Amino acid sequence: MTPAQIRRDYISVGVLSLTLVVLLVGAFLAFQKTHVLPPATCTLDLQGLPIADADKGLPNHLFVVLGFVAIIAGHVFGRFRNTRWYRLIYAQGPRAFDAHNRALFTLAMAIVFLGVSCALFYEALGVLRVPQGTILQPITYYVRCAIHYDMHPNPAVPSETQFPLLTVLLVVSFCFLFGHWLWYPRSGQEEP
Amino acid sequence: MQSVLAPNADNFDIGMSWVVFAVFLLLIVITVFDVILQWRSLQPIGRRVQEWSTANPILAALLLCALGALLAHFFGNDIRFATGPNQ
Repeated sequence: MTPAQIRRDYISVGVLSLTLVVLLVGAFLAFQKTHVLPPATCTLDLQGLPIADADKGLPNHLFVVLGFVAIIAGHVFGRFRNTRWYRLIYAQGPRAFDAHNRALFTLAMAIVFLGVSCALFYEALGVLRVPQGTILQPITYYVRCAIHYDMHPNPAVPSETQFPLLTVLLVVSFCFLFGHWLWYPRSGQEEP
Repeated sequence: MQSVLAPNADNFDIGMSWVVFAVFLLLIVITVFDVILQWRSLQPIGRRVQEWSTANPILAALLLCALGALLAHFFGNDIRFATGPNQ
């Protein structure tokens, strides 16, 4: 089989590219919104009064259900990805790629573990409940606070709500990718 | 701890910006890598992770425990925003 005969899996490329676009747009909007947050974010309203308990705790648990569905979708997506066509062209595999592949992947995993370790250390400092106002707050506060402002965009009127489209898109994207990367099916469509 | 006090007390923007930057950067880089792998019809990241976890079952189990603990922490606990010092 020649390279011209290889059928590229455009659908899988498209699904991954769409997820990438959602991540890029979500990152831009989230970063932009963090810089227009009011003082006393997520703890006090603009009048200096404590925000209602219902708005300070866990977000709607439907997000968790949505996340599970997206994880399963990511797993199922793995069954439809066509890979390893390159073996039909390169019977032994491109030598240069193989030589560096394992080392690069091991390095990538080490970086991931290092990142997770740093996040856990930071989170451990955060849950020590250091004085409010420091930058050492638990990551979960930041996440919940971001969801809060996505649902209640107007700090002057906390009772105003809107559909948290950005949160939904990001929950679906994150969980879809985690389900796809960490729960990849063994029976993906691959050339023998 | 006084030395790390943010100038604008109770404002989460610094920490939140760092979280947004770190999380999105990691995911975007890996996704770009996965798109390139798919475009070139090479083994996807999921398959590589699978092979790595098969070769390193203890590390994979530890990673799963850490991820499970993180998910339980983020979604299952009932901690509340403190509204004053040492709360």
